[in-house]
Amino acid sequence: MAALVTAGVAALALSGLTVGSAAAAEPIAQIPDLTGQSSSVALDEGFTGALESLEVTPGTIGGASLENGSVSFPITGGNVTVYEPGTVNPYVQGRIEHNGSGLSLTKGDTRVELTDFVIDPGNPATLSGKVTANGQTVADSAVLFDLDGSTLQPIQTDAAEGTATLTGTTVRLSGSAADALNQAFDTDAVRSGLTVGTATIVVNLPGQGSGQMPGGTGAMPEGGVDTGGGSTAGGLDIALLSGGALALIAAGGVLAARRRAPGARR
Amino acid sequence: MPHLSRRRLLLAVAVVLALLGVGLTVLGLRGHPGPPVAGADRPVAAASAPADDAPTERRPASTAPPVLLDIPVIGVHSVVNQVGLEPDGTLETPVPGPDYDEAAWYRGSPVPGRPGPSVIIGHVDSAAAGPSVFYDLGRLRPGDGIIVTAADSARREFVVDAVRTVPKNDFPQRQVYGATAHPELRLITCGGDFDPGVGHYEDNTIVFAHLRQP
Repeated sequence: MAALVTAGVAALALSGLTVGSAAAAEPIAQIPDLTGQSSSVALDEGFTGALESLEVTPGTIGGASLENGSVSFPITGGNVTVYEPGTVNPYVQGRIEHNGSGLSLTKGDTRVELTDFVIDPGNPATLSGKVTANGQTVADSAVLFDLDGSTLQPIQTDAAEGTATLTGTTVRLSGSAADALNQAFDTDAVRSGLTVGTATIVVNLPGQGSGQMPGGTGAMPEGGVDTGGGSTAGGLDIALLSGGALALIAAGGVLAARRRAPGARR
Repeated sequence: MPHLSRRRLLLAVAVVLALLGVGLTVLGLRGHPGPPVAGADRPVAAASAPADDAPTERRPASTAPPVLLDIPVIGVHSVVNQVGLEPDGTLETPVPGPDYDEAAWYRGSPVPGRPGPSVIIGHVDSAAAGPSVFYDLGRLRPGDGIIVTAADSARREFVVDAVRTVPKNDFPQRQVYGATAHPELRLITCGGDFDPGVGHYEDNTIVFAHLRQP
């Protein structure tokens, strides 16, 4: 299951696949409850520069953080269903939720809030969220960012930490988000497709805390494995010593027989 | 004259037996060097042995369990049986009998070729009968090939990443059995010093390997 989660995370960056249907294929894994860790975006200089030129100040909401040019949102839930590749398009389906956090953009008296992000690994992969302007809801769920997986790097897992990390997905401003920002800040400078930054998604791998074998059906074994009886361990080799003793005894027996043989001196 | 020849023959036999006895005694006193630990040397000829020339499966693994294990570089060719867990949560191991010297797959781990760490164990030796199936596991090196054949006849090649010897009383459970992004393989046997008081080795030798991708 853990590795299937990583497969699900990987699929977040997949795009360009043709839209298909689940048909009657059976999923090879279903993860009903994603828990923990975060999605973050290392903000692109082009995006921060555009905000600066518009005199728009970015900020965070709820559990989000903005440090060293990277904004991060805690994962609060979601689910992933994985099918055998080729049987269903997209073969990874589901959503990753980030409720209660978001990003604020402020210019003068105007404050736009983008919150409750949901990543959909479908086709195309998108990030949607709630949009409010000065406290008024503009959209309960609008596509804010398009996710481009062509720059994706291989998944990294940390078995000791129990996490899977996917980085490299390029986040671009959607057309609807650009329109909303232009309208809110009374400008036409915000362009659709503007690169927002590069995303890194870190999820907790299932099974790490539950003691289940990742990808398997059983429990994770405890302790070491007793796979030896010790016959080749260092120390005296009783078999060889016994053989040597027998050979020496036999040699003595032969010498005794020789003494008793005819012709021996008495 | 015949008497003289017989006495000489007996003397020769006695000398040969005496030399054999002394030799065996010396070897017995020196004892076994113990199972190879991680990073142990191996014959030069074996170091360059190819993994296997037979084609390996590129498609995703089915749920068919492993039935054969081949590690050409250390001469392992073994049937793969199955084990579960003991009541205390530790891995079962092959018991004395016809399966003792054969490898065993932990049926609770992923099928080799499926995402996650598939676990195959084997004895390093027996209590009295000398080396067992995984005696030379410590001689494996990064880059060596391991072939696992499943019950559906699909053969998959794994490539050794690392060989480590770890103490059983500080076994790195998460590193060995923790989640992986891709199909991986763990081969486990015993190593290190043998504690005759408890009848077990103090360490485990573990091979970490990943599935060779197309």
